[in-house]
Formats: sequence, C-alpha cells, structure tokens
Amino acid sequence: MKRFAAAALVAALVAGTAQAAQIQPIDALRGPVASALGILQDPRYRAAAEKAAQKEKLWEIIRKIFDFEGITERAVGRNWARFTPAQQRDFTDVFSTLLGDSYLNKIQGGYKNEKVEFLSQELLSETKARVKTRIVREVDTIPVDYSVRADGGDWRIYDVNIEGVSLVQNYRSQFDQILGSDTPDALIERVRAKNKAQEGAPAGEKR
Amino acid sequence: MSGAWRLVLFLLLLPVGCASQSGALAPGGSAASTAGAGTSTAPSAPLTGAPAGAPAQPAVVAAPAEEGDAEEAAPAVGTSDPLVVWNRTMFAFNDAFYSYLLKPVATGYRAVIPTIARKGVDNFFHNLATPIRVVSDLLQLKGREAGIEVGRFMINSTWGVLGFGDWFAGNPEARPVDTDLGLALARNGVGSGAYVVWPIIGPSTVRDTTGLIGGLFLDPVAYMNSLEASLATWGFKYVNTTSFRLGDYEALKAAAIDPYLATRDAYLQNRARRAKE
Repeated sequence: MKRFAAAALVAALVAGTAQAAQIQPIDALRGPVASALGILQDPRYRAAAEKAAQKEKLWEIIRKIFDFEGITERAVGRNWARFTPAQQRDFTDVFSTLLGDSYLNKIQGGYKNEKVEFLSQELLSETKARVKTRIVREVDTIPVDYSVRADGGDWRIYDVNIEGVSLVQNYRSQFDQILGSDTPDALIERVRAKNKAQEGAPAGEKR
Repeated sequence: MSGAWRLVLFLLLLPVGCASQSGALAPGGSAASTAGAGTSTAPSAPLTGAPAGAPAQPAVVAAPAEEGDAEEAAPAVGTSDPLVVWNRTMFAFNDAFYSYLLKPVATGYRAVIPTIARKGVDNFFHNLATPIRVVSDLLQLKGREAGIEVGRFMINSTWGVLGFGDWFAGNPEARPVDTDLGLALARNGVGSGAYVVWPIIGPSTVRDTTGLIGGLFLDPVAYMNSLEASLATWGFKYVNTTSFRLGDYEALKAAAIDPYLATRDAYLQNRARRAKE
C-alpha cells in the first residue's frame, strides 16, 4: 500500500512538472505583469528618493520576461552579421539599458492606476505565440500585443506591438538607416552616449 | 504605465482628431511582395508617390512585421522618403513648435482646467467629427460601425448635451475604431504615396493628406463664419488633446536613436495596420 502511494505520488509530481512546462503564454505573463503593477502601486515607493529602488525591482521582473538578446538581434536585422560577438554583447547591453530605462522612467513618472486586461492569445506555432492585452486608461484604451517565444519552460517576450506599431520594426528602421552609413562601433557608442546623457533624467510628467 | 504606451501614439495622432492618414502599403497583396523585396535605403528609390490612380505602388514600404517570419534573416523592408529634406526640416520645426509653444500652453491649460471639463471638450470634438467617421465607414463597407456611430451621435448630442457628455464611456464595444477618409482610400486600393511631414499637423502621406482635405468638407468647424474662428477652434482642440498626452513626445525622443525615423516608421506601421482592420 505504501509503495503504491509513493509511486502514485511520484507519478503525480512528474505529471505536475510536465504540466507546468506547458504553461500557456497568456498565463505566463499574468504573474509578472501583476507583480509589476503591484510595485508601481506600492506606497512604499511613492517618495522620490525611493524611485531608484522601485526601478531596480521593476528591472528584475523585466529581465525575467523580456528576451533582450532576441529583441536586439531582431531589431538590428540583417546587419547583425556585421557585429562581432563582442560587439553583439555590447550592443545588447546598451540597447537593453536604453529600452528599459527610457520606458521605466516614463512608466514610473506617469503611472495612474491604469489596468492591464489580458484579452486572448494566439499560438503561432509550438514555440511562438502572441498575447493580446489592453491597457485601460482614464481616457481610452490602448491595445498592446506581446510576441512571445518559448525558452525552456518559460515564455519570453521578443516584440511588443503597441497600437499596431512593432517595437522591433521601429528600431530596425532606425538602425538600418544608421548602419547604412556608420559602423557598428559608432552605433554602440551613440547609444551609450545617449544612455549616459539620460542618466538621472527625471521621471516623466505626471498626468 | 500610461505614457510609455502612448509615446508613439502622440505623434500618430498629431493630425488632430481629423483624419490621420494611412499606411505605407496599398492593401491586398502588396504586403507579401514588399516583405520579400530587397531593401533600398537610397532616397532616390524609383518608386515615387504617385497618388490616386497608381494602384498598389507603395512608395514607402514598411511592412508590419509578420511575427512568424520575424526570424532575423527577414530583411527590414527599405523605405523610400523622397521628401526627406522637407520632412526633416518640418520635423525639426514641429519639435520646436511643441517644445516652445504647444507644450507650455497645454501644460498651463491642464493645470487650470479640471480633467472632467477637458474630457468633455474631447467628447465634444469627437462627437463633432462623427460625419467623417460615418462616411469613412460606409466607404469601407462597414455598415455596422457606421450605424453605431450614428446612434452615438444622436444620443450624445441630445442627452449628452451637444456631445460634451458621453453616455457610452467605459464601454469599448460601443466605440468603433477611429477611422478616416485616408483609411477609406487605403481600403479601396489607393497607394499611400510619399511620406510627408506638415508643419503643426504632423506626419502624413500623400493619400492621407488627400483624406484630410476631404475631411474638411465634413468638418463643421470649417464652416464657421470666419477663417480665424475655424483656426482658433482647431487650435483649441489641439491644445485640449495635447493636454492628455504631455510627456509622450519626450518619451519617444528619449527612447529613439533617431526620432525622425522612429516617428516615420511608427506612423506608417500604425496606418498600415489600421488599413487592414
């Protein structure tokens, strides 16, 4: 009897793990988004002095669900081959910093209890999906779609589509033009300089 | 959370309320061909903005990324921008206009006027633009949306006191997607034409500008007694709309490596997507 129970327990655990690996993309995003909203609403971080700490906590979540290497590679597109591996690493770093900081500055400064509604998901393949959400604001709603890719047992975001505008595509159009006349190193320096200039930039305007 | 998502939206909707115009692609079919097309970053690309009458000739081609094949090998489609010198000049002008004129005015306006009143004004102008949306919907054979717009107009104009109140607020299903004559043209096969940036009005394309002009005939404000009155009213509408979006443009500039290119691409992507809806 005991052995049977033990075997059943093991079987259940194994099944449970297998189940977890097949978590749906829409559910995979719910948790992190809820955590992020929680951090934004947390009264502990309301003081200006706490903003840096809040930003750090938000970065933790962002690092988990965003696939920055994938985003950077897609944003650079066919020019990625012109980057050496070291340059690729460098650029992924500075580009993620640019994205994260500029968006976080804005979010932290302008958050006003907007709600995020998860609408649906579309499985494009076994490893790719698109999660449709909606941000409900005071004045209107904004559709935001996340393109996610399976990475081990996780789903990570490789593109964000806001009102029909793909982030990756938007940067690709910029990088294409810039890399048409500049070297990868020059682009890396340009982004790095921009990051530096924006360090300590005040959080965005309040509504 | 708000501003980050709106950062492209601000510039996309700079063509105040009225018709913001359409996307890069002529609909129906050219998307596939442009997605595979080679790139051409030279501004003197052979495709020029031949407006109405040149079917499916996308002069500016920014295919919305198909996520399925977004695997990096897919080249970004080249964009031709024959009016780039004018555009960049106007973009710089608009930037200064925003920073030194529009933003201070809108900031002051927002500080003084309560949100409810500003929202009321927003509703009023949205209501007033109903004829444009109804005509655009009908031209796109969207009878249901046209009907909803008419219904909203009737109720909000009467019970909503001239449209200041919106009885359908908070109900996204009762608010059809915003549309305009530029999108109607796109749906009917008109190519977008060259990307062009107008002072104050903002980004547009040849087709969208045509749509904007057409929209003027359906805009009650254009029929006011004097040009000054019309301009003043449009100016007021612009300030009111901007008061909800302060900070978005700054965020866009902060996030972009080249704000002009970012704006152009965002505008064209957005229009292309809306032309398919």
